Order: sequence, then C-alpha cells, then structure tokens
Amino acid sequence: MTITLTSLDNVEFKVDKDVAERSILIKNMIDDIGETDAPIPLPNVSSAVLTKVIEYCEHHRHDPPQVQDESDDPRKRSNDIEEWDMKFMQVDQEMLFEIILAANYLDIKPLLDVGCKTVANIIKGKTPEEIRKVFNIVNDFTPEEEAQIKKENEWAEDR
Amino acid sequence: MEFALSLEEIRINIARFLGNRDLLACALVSRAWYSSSSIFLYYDVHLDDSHRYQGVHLRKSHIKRNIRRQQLQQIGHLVRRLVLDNLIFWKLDDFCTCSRLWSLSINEIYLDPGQNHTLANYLARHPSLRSLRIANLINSPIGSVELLLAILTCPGLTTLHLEYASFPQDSSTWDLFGSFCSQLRSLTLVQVSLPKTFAWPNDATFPKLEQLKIDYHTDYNHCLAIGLPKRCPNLRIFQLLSNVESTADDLINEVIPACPRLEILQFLSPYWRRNQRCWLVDSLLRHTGGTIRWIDLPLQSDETCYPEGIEFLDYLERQSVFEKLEAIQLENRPWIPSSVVQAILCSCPNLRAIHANSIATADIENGTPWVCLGLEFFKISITYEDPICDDDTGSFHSRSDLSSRNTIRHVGSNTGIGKCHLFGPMLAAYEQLARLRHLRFLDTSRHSVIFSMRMELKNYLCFRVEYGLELLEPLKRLEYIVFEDTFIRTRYSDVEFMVRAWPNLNYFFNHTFNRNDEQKIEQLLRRHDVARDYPFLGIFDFLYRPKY
Repeated sequence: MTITLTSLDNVEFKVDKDVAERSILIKNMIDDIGETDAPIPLPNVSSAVLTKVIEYCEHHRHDPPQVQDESDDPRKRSNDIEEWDMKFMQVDQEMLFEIILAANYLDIKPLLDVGCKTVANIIKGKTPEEIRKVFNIVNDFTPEEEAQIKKENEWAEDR
Repeated sequence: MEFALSLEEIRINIARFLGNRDLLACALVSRAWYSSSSIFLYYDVHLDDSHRYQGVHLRKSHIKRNIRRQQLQQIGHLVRRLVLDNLIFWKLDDFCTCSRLWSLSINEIYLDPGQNHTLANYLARHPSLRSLRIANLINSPIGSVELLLAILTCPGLTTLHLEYASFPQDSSTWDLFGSFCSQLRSLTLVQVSLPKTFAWPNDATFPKLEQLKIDYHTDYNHCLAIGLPKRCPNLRIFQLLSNVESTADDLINEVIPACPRLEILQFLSPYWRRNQRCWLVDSLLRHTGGTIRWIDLPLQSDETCYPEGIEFLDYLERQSVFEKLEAIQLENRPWIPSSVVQAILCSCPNLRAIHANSIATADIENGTPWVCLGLEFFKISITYEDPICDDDTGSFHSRSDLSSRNTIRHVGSNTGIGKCHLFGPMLAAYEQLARLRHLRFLDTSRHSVIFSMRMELKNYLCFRVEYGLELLEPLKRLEYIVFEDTFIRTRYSDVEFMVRAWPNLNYFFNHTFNRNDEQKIEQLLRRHDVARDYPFLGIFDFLYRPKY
C-alpha cells in the first residue's frame, strides 16, 4: 500500500505505508482517517527537505520502534551516531535545521535526535562567541548579567 | 538566527546531548540559550514535611523529592531552586551548603530563634539570590524589623513574593522598601500591611516592574492597589484583589492609561456595575497595544447575572479579543452553558489555557472541530448524559450514529448496543482531545468546579482503554492528568497505558482504583516517579508565574 504526500511546493511523493509511518504524525493521520488514496498535505515541509526525510525513513524502515529510555538521567551521548546517519547529515547548515524542523513537525524522534546530535557536535568545544557566530545569535545579555553567570558557574568547569 | 533554534523544545533537545563544559558555553550565548541549558546543569529541590498538595510547578527531569539531609550536603552547591514547605524537622542551618541559590521559597517554616542562622544572615550569605518567596511566617517568632532587614540584604533580587507578612508600622521603613522595589521585575504582596500615613513621593516610578500582584481581603490600601501600578510604565501583568467598590473606576481612569504595555489583567472584586467589565476591556484596548492575552474578571455566583456573563463574552467576540486571547477562565460563575464553552474552543486559535465548568460530549460531537491546537492547559469537566435518558428525548443517538462510530476498530470488542450508546459521545471527546498535541495539563474531573456542592447525576469522561483511551497516545507532552471515575474504576491496564504513552507524566490523580489492582497501580506509579497527587494549579501559575 502506498501513501501520497504533498509538499509545501505541491510536489507529490509516493511512498510505502511503512515508510510514511516512521512519522508519528502521518501514522496518526492514517489511523484517524483510515486508508485512503487522497494525498496527505504537509504544508510545513518543502520538497527538497521531504526528499531527504523520505530517504532517511526508507533507510530506517525496518528499525524496531524506539523504546522509552527508562534511565533517570535526561542527558544523552552524542558520539553514537551511526555511520550512514553521519553521512546523511553531511548537508549545509540551512538544510540541517530544515530537517530538524521537519522531524519535529512530522514527529520522527530518531531523525530529530540525529539532527540535534549533529548540532551538539558542532557546538562542542566552542566558546560562547563562536557559537553565536556559527548560528547567527545575538547576545542579549547585559555585561553585568554575563559576569554574574560566569561567576555562578565557576564551580562547574571542573566537574 | 536559524528559526529552528528559536524553538525552546529544539534547544532543549540539543542541550541534552552536551556535557557540562559545553552547556556552560551555551548558557553564556543568550538569554534563551541560558534558560534551555541551565535546566541540565542544576537541581531543583522541593521539601515538604506535610502531605499537602504541592503548589509549585517543577519539571520532572530536575526535581528531587524526598531528599535526605546527607544528600543535600553533597549536592548543595548544585541546587539553584529551593522550595521549603511546612518544615518542622529542618532548620535553616541544614541548608547552608546550598550556597549558590537563584530562587528560594519559604512557606510555613518554623524559625527557631536559637539556631545559628537567622533569616537575615542566611539570606545575606546568598548574593546570587534572584527570586525570594516568603509566606505565612506569622506563627514564627520573627519580628517585622527582622523580616524587612532580611529582604534588604538581597540586593540582586528581581522577584519578590510576600504573603501574610507584617512590616514595621512607620513610613520611613517603607521608603526604604520603596527604593528597594525599584529594581524588581516582579512583585507579589498578599495581605501585607502598610502604615496608614504612607504616600509615594510624587516622582516615584518603578520602570523595571513588569509583573505585579496585590491581594487584599481586608485592610485595603489605595496607595498600594492603585498608587503602585500607575507608577509602573512597563507593567505587563497586573493582578488585583480588592474589596472596595470604587476600585474598578480607578483602574479604568488611573491605572490602565498609565500602563501602555498591560496585556494580562486579573481583577477580583465583589462589586460590579452593569457593563463595567466591558468598560475595562474597552479601556485596555484603547490605551494598550490592543492585545489582551488573558483577562479574568469573574462574574458572581448569583445566577441572575447570567445574561451579563453571556453579553460580556459576546462583547469580547465583537471586539475581536478572542483572536489573540491566550487564556480564558470561565469557571462556574455563573453557569456558562456547555455550548458556549464549545464555541470558545472553536473560536480562539491562540488559546494556551482554558478553565471552565463543564462541556457536554453532545456539544462536542455536534459542533465543529476545536481550533485551539496549541492548548497546553485544559481544565473542564467532560460530561455526558445518561444514555437511557437520551433514548427518551431521542436527542443524539440514532442507529446511524452508532454505525459511523464503529469505524474505530478497537472499541467494539466487548460492546453490546447499550454500551455503544455510551461510547459514541465519549469518542467525540477523545478525538478532539487527541488533536491537542501541546497539552501538558489535562483535568476533566468535576473538581474543576470549586464550589459545585450539589450532587449532580452526571457521567464524566473516563480514561479507560476499552473506551478509546489509546486515541490519546499522541499527547506526548502530558505532565498532569486528573479525572473522575464515577462509575467504572481505573484498572491496571489503563494506568499502564498512560505511563507508557506519556513519558512526561508527573502527576496522576483520580479517586478510586479497581480494588484488585490498587496495589499494583501504586507500585507502577512509584516506579515511573509519577506522584498520585492533585496538582492545585491555576492558569496563572501555569502560564505566567515568573520562573526565576
């Protein structure tokens, strides 16, 4: 059974149901309306991004469903990205964030995580100023606030 | 900036893959990055000796309940928020390792004058403190002078909350307090008395104050209730409880024109003249940016003012207030009909929180789909009529309804025709709830009505797997669930589904469990760190209480 997805720029994509259902959003939609030939509109995702997302879902179509992590620690490691995923994520920064947004919107948790790990790896080892520069973020702290946070955080350097 | 990084949930998801050193770098990037990365660096500790409901909202991943004295010694320097409620067996001395606090809340704590740390010298050792809440110290032997001194030792405070506190009764100490207030961004005064002779200096202004709450059941003071807010040109949120008849006029004529950034107004008063609520809204729309995010001007319980309640809602709709409204409180004064609640859910696209009396499943089923897909806080009893009564009136269950409902497969298993009568309307409610993917707080119990004491013969929406609970699986952000189970008790399988489907679930409350399952359910909840508690949380606490 194939599902038709329509991107923001009205390009139609035909994909197998089990591939489309890697997206929890689409899975719930199909559960809600029943199996249908009508295309599912995805007004937040452009065709370029949707192509990438489908590529990911096709590669991971046989993955077992993600189990909820039982451990207490909400923090995770970022150095365990699979080789294929690593290659898949070698895109320009704009596309990287587009994929993250699409994964968030389509509710594809593993893809969202891979995207966020990639961003985390970009951040690693950088100074605050370098992070701002890379992601084009404006520093909205007053100098006093900045000094205050630095002071509060002295202890954490050596943890 | 990349748009994706402006979303807090994405920043948090990135931050969870970073180690301390990188989190620290992120904390210094910008304010937004600071708040998303600091939640992985520090602990929040909430201690409560009594078994009363916890009124403070803390996120699951960082909350530490039931901590031992010894543990506190070890992690003290990592604690940033400390909430102390009803402590009898602890002393301030026990918290001296918490040396880098941002936020401290003390409620009904017994302060023994014999201990080393008086409140003032305890606070003086916390120059990093930004937020301080002191409530109900009335039974402690702490003098009013000491309290004032204690507060004045915290020069970095931006948020101050005082409840049932008394200050020295001479004006000069209030002058001191006034100049202290000029650096605050948020101030809450509940039953704090002021000298009778006090008056603000003519040129006094509080340009930093954005959030102000003043609450007087007795001993109303014009100088604070009206005189303070009108000196706050950047006030965004104002809450006032007053028992004086002229206050509404003072708000319209003095406060609102002086506060062009006001967008959230809660005004509780026993005195209302006809149309006065409309005048207040009118004044807000005229003098401010025209966006009202939340307005709470409750109607009296007297049912005779029912038409005015509806007129007021009509007025809000005519003024296009609904289009931008973030939160609405329609709790039962007077009995707002279910159809009106349904209409509001269908006409406020930006709604993030709603608290209303009740909504009937029949209205949901016959109405259009809800538009408020960003809703986070839902506190409305969902009721449905007894199906036997419905057959008499023939209102909403025809055979064709039943067959259309049967398209949802997993419901039909153990149902006879009689049962289907029940499920049809329940499913309509489940289906609408399932679309609210941002929901964090869901309370459909009749407790959402505070003073509904009359026994009603109504059925409430139950959260049972065989009624379609699985439809609610997409509500991944759910943290609180409260519901009524008047006629069928919750089983283990229901609770198991909930803790599995909703990873953020933190509070679970209903009245009764199936007796055979009770013990197993308790264990399950404990294993998943879900408190079996009734979270006493209002819209304001949920959306707007300063987090710092």
